Amino acid sequence: MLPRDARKPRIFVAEDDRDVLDLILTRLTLAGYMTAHARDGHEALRGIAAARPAGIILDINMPNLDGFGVLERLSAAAPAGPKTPVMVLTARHAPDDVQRALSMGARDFLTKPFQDAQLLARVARLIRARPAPASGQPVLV
Amino acid sequence: MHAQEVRRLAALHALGTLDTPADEAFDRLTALAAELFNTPVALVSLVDAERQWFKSRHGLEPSSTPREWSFCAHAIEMGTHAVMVVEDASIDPRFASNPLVTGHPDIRFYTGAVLTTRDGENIGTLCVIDSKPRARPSDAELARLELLARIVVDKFELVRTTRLAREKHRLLELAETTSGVGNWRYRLADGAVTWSDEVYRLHGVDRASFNPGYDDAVAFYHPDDQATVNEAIASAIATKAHSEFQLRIIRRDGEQRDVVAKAICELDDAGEVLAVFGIFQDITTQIRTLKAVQQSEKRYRLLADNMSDVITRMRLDGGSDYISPGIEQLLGYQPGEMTGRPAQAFVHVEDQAMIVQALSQMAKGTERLSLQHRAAHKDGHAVWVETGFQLVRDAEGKPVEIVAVIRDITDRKAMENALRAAQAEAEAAANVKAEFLANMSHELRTPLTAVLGFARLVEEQPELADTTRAYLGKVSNAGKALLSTVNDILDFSKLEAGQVEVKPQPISVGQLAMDTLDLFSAQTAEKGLSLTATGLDLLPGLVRADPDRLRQVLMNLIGNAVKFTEKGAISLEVSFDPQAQRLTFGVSDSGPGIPADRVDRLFQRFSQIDGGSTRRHGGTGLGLAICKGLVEAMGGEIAVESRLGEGARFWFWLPASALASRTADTTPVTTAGGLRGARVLLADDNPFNRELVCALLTPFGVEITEAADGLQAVELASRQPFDAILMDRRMPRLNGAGAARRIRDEDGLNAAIPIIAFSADPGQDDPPGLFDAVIAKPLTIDALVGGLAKALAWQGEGALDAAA
Repeated sequence: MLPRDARKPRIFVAEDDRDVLDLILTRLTLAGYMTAHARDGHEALRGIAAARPAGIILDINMPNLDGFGVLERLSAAAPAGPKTPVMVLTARHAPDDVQRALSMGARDFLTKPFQDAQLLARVARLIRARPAPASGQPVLV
Repeated sequence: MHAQEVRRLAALHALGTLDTPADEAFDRLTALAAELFNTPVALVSLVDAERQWFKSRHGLEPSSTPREWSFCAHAIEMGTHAVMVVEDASIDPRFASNPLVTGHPDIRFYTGAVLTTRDGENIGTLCVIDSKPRARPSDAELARLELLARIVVDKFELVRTTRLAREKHRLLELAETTSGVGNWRYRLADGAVTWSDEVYRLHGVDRASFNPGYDDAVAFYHPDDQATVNEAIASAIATKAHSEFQLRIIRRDGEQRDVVAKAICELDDAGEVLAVFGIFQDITTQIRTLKAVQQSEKRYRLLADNMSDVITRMRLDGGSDYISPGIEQLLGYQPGEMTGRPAQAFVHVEDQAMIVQALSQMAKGTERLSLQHRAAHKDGHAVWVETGFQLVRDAEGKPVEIVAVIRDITDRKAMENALRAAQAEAEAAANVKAEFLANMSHELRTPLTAVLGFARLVEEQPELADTTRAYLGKVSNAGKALLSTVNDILDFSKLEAGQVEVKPQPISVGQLAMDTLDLFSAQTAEKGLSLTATGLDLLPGLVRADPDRLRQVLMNLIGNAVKFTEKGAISLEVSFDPQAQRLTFGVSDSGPGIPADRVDRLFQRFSQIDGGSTRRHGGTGLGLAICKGLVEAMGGEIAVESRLGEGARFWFWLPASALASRTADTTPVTTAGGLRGARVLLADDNPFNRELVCALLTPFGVEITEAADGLQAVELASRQPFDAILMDRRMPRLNGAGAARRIRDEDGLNAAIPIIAFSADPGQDDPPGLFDAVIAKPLTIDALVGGLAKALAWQGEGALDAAA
């Protein structure tokens, strides 16, 4: 187990299936992330507001309020301000769901079942900061 | 020739006597003339155009002499009924040098009376001749000769009249035979009956063996009709008028015939009936035809009256002349209520215009029309009918009326509606099914994600016992098998719904084939099978194809081969036809083979060779159906050749364009690990540059989406997430810097991802924060792969080391 580091960004995971939730949380923790989680949409909205995560992993199919509902309220809550990047989790055979989520503000998607490296690469991509204007000349390879 | 001579010759020929055989009647006349004048020679001489011909010659041999020698030719010039006398030809200047005078028969004395016809034409002479000169006969003698000449002409006329009568009779017989009409006569005075040949024929008897009397004639009639015959004849005689009867006779051969006879009375000068005569005709055939026509009409009438279809005859203005009784069943009207009224009056109000238009089209000459429309029932409700109109023309081709057949199609309409409803229902059911499958996908994948994920987590624990690791391996394999089954079912439902999306991209087929075979190496090693690939080294470096679909088909086919083969070899051969730009794959095994009668069903869903096979080998039975669907979706074909006991070879082809001649095996493998599955957007206006980048990156498992200019790159980046963007600086419409700026500023899906520039001029200043790296042109593998791998390592502020 890697030691926890308070400086590592926090990832919020909203997933109703307890096993999949545990799996993702374990993987993220092993990779050094801090985590927070919720098991339905309403709980997720409250948790996100409290935890101020760097990124959100959001399952589409959830009880009470599904992923689309969460996306809708997140963008309503911050119509113009900075948005926390969201990656949605979908079943493999739902390309329409992916398009819909992207159009509602999600930054990326991940299809279940996924591989560990894929999960971590996508999370890293999700929370990558834009190159700052002050960061100087690009690297010449 | 002189017109008078023409008429004379015509009259001569009309007698029809020239060159006919000798006739005793004429010979008796010449003999009488010779006797009267006591001359050795007497002739009936006819003067033709070129000669004189003797119908009768008494005391002379030749039957004709040339006209210029002829005495008679002189005689006929003298006028009608004239008599020419030559007392001594040897001293007559007209005849002194005539060969008939100077030589045989040494004519000296000649007296000829001209033969003048009733029409006044002089056709020849009756002449007496002697070889000694003689004095002119007395006037009384000459008058006698002239009288004899008249008798000769009368005889000619009689012969001709007889001949004409005979011809007329023959003509009549011919007419009777041809028309089947004979004639008969019954003379009252002695009761004699005469029949013409045709009447004999019609009775089936002949003239030689049958001589009809009145009673005989009547006896031919049908026993029931004989009284009628007697009455008809008696009544004709009594009234002196004509009568007609149509009755049956029984021919001599026993056949009954229908005949018609007409009788007319022949009256004498005093007005008394001499005879009854008339014609006799066999009309059996006409009667039969008539009866057949009546029967036929009756049948059609019967048909029309009893048919469920309604038949109506209309005038061109649409008013009906006849409506078959079926109309009552159809629309509740009696036929009589409808005749004469316009057709549209019985049509549903919304369809009346259609019918009026159809009728006017028919009246203008349209041969036939068929319409589905609603008719109006007497009680007001609509009845769906199909009406077929047919134009009827008269003998001159002028349209005269319209016949329409009206058929009740209520049931058909109901069936159509039911079918439509059933179809809608089926579509709804299909939607429900698709939704169910999507849900099932979620419900199955979620626990599977956990099973596989935790198994991986446990496998990573270093302190596991070997048995634990082995059990874990089984859990993991079982999980993967279950996942592939779920995928099969979902793939199939997608194929069925036509929702498969084929995404061709540059791929290395050789690499893909090797990777796929690798997946089966453990299994085949365990079963002791050899697993080989051929032809990979001859493939072009890159072709355009959908790697996921292609891999899926190969995995299915190779998986089947491995599953069903117990010993021997499995081989994959791959070839590329640059001409046709198509890839062909073959998967051969040494398994049990497939019976010929099962080959056709092999690619149908849920089909395995037999149910037992499913139990023994497992599987959904969807694999080959999915392969077929996928290959066809890619534009190719799949087939199998196999014989029972001799293994099987599945093969398929698909269109694929070659991109480069490079082969993938020259690519260095350093730092390649981080690139697999990376989604890269490549923006370059030069297709050859794009091809080169694809050739370099595809073997590492990079998924490339291509854009041909900056605007297209911006557009693609706004729609789908990428992991990195490779951007040429110089592009039409929008250059690399402009495109990168917009992707960053629009704060979309890809605002924060690494963007790497290609530049032929790397020294150029870029605005800060735009590109993560610049790769110099010309491109090298190391620079490209290294640069991309570095960018994807997510280094920089806020990023983590993904390799951790």
